[in-house]
Amino acid sequence: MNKNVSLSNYVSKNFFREKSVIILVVVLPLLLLYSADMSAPDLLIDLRLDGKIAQVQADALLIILYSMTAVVFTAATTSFFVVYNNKKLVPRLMVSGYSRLQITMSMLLIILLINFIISLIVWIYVLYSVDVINAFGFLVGLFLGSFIFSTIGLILGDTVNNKTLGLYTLLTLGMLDTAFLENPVLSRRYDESWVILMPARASVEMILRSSVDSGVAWFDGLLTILLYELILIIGYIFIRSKILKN
Amino acid sequence: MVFSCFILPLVIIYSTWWITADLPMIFGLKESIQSIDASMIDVHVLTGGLTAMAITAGLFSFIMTAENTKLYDRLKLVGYSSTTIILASFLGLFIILTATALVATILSLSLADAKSPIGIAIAIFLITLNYAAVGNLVGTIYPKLTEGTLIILIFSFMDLMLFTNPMGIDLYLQTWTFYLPGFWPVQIALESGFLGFPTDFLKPLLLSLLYFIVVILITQIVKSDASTNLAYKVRRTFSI
Repeated sequence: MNKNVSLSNYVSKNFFREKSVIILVVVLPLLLLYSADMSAPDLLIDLRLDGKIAQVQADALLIILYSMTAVVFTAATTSFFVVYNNKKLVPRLMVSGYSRLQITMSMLLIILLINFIISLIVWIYVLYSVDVINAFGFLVGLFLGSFIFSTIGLILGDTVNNKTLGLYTLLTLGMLDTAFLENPVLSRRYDESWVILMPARASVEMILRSSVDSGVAWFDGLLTILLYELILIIGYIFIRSKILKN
Repeated sequence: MVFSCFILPLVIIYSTWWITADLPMIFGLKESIQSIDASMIDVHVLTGGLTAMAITAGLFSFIMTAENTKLYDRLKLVGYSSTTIILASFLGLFIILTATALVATILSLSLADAKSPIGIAIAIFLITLNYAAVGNLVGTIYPKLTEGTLIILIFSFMDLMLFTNPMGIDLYLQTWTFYLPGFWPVQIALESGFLGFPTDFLKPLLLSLLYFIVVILITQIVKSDASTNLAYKVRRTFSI
């Protein structure tokens, strides 16, 4: 147990040593939430959800959606940095006596802890700013959205050799998915069928169902999120093992 | 890099047009009493063109400056002056960014109807200049690749899509936003796009060019021997 705690401690210190962490984990989410407040038009937006149309204030909708963007950015970049920065370290740790499982669990612990803390902070901000129907469902939706993007960050951290390229891929994907494509205030494509394939789709629907009464339970998309996560992980393991074989 | 100079802005402009909702926007301008009633798609395509060039110019200017820091010191050692080095690196970047700005202008004008295409083109060139200078300054002060590019990305995005953009409803036309690099080019773009060639064109043009010159001068001062010595003394005093 002591070994695992000291390893997690080491991984987390390595993570916070990265200067861009302050920008990505603190500054960027705050800026996003602030811009949601400052940029919302004074309009009622027709939100199409589960076959029903609900009228929602644009500012409330932007805060809800940008909360997911903030959480997704933090989650993806945290995972990316934790895995990328410790890539060369892993073989040395294994030589020192740590098992692959111990190393993976330590990294996952840090990633999930940071995801949870950021989800909690953003959740409190949202509850303070807008009325939601189901606060617990909202938190679960935020955390699961962060979980999927953590996995994507993890995969990129393990595969790319260029830190800047990996970071920009994550930021672009997170921004495009949660702040634009899924956003009825800014996007005219948000309810097109192909958007279902975007990573944050099911989580965004979960937080919307927790905020707006669409007649469908908030946990309706839970299976979809877990399935998406499973496909990501299995797909990655399969492709990686094929590449390693070759 | 040359390939990315063209792909990045084109992707930003096209995706802005493709995604943006067709919602009404009503806003005013700093130098005009008329209010403009426009579709969010048109506003975003025009400001998106500026954002795309700001990001491209800022990022590539930064990367070029940051990566040439060591080269700069060696060139100074063999006798080149700071001015010559900065101007030479700027010239190369300027040629590429001019071509990119031209392509970005053509794409923006093909996706949104503008009353005065010349005004849009000038606005895009001005923002390219301003952000090339900003990228150069950031690269001089803090040449760390990941953090520096993030700062440029976030700053340009917040400047052009929120602070100086009618989208930033509570912030648009606030006095402090006049001092941002994107303010006057955005004003020129919006007036040219929706009203026609700006009636008082000289003021925003000169203020935008002044911004560019001031940022270049600040970069020069930061790169000078006097400021390098001062920075060294400060670091020694505080033992950083």
